[in-house]
Amino acid sequence: MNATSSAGERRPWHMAALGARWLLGGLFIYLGLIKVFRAAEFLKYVREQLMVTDPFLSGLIAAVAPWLEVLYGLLLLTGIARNAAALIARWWLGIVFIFMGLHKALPHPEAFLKLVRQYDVVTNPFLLNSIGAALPWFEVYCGVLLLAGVAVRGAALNLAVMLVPFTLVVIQRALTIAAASGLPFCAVKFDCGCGGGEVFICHKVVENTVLLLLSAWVLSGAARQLCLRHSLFREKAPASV
Amino acid sequence: MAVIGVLLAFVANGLSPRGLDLTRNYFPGARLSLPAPAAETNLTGSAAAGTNSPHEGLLARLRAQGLQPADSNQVAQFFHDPRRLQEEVIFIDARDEKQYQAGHIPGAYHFDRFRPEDYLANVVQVCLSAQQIVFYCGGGDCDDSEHAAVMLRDSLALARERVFVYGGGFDEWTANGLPIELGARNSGQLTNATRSAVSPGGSPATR
Repeated sequence: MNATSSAGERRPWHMAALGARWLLGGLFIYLGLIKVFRAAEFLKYVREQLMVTDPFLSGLIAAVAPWLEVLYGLLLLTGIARNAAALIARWWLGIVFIFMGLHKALPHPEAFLKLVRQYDVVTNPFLLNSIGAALPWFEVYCGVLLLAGVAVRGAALNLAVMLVPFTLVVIQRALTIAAASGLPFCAVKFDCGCGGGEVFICHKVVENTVLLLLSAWVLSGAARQLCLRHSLFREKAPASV
Repeated sequence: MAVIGVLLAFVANGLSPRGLDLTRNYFPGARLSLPAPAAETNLTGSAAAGTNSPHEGLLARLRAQGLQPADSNQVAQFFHDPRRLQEEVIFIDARDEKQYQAGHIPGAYHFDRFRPEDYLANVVQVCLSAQQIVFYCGGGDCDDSEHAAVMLRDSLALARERVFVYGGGFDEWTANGLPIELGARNSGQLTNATRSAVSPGGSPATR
């Protein structure tokens, strides 16, 4: 009786998790295929934003990475090798945030400061400088924790908490630009200060949705393999997703 | 955990040789309305073209700060003024080192306002002796030339009528096919390059 009741309570959670996994899989396939169809643009991104200057290496990354994203999307859709997929999610999330944080912090943190200022959310110089100084390194910190597998859920929670408001202000700015320029929303391209240079807003929203879903997945207790210390405190074993 | 992360982030910023100074106002002057998004050059398409409002906004912003705007004709006159050779008319490039090295107005001094300590020694004397000082950066939504102009004008007590800001900036200069100098100041490597050839990978964010 209790077991039936417990299973019934868990059903909505499982359905939501399944839906999220399918959505994530679909978005990964979309992101991969977009890069395949816009190969030249992605190659330019690899060379300029990822700073891979070696022609062979940049070409290799541009040719292989999109298909790996598609493959990963298929893994998520089919539910095959779920534990390995969760581990990849944690590592990928960690690498992305380390890269984006370093991209902002070095070598020109003032460029990031200018972008933060353009949002017109913070006007006090000390607060503005604090955001410009600390935010990139905080992202690196969370990324390192995820990569090493230390305080994993806390790090994922931090990322989720940052991603939601950041995505909203980026959308708000894109709406302002679209209204002022007369461009369709998805045609707006600007440097949102996210760490990857200029991006089309719709692509950015998809990317942030992926990052948010991955954070939520890791936050739910997945990706416990190869962790130095998954939780700083004792915790209950989570339900399998 | 988040608190530890924030503290570590501030420590990392403090240790970084390029870290930000928390107590410094990087955007001196009165709080001004930011450029209208339509004025931004980093939009796709040409929707931003053909409107005067961004230009008018720029003029109003410069005047509010007591700076004199200089258009492309005026800047060309300054450039061809024989007094430029005696450094009575000077140009100051307020972009970052990478962009300056990739190409600048011939003879322009470099002054990155985010690292003033590295450049003040080179520009103080010439600013004090020059009759006309023209500041520029990338153009478009770039406002580094304005901040650099205010910073040097106020700290060196320069007369307002001597300080000009070229709003069109380096983008307009190259678009007009005017000569540019590569590498260091007075390197002698002059060329008439297109914008794409002189700003490889230059993001508007780093102007």
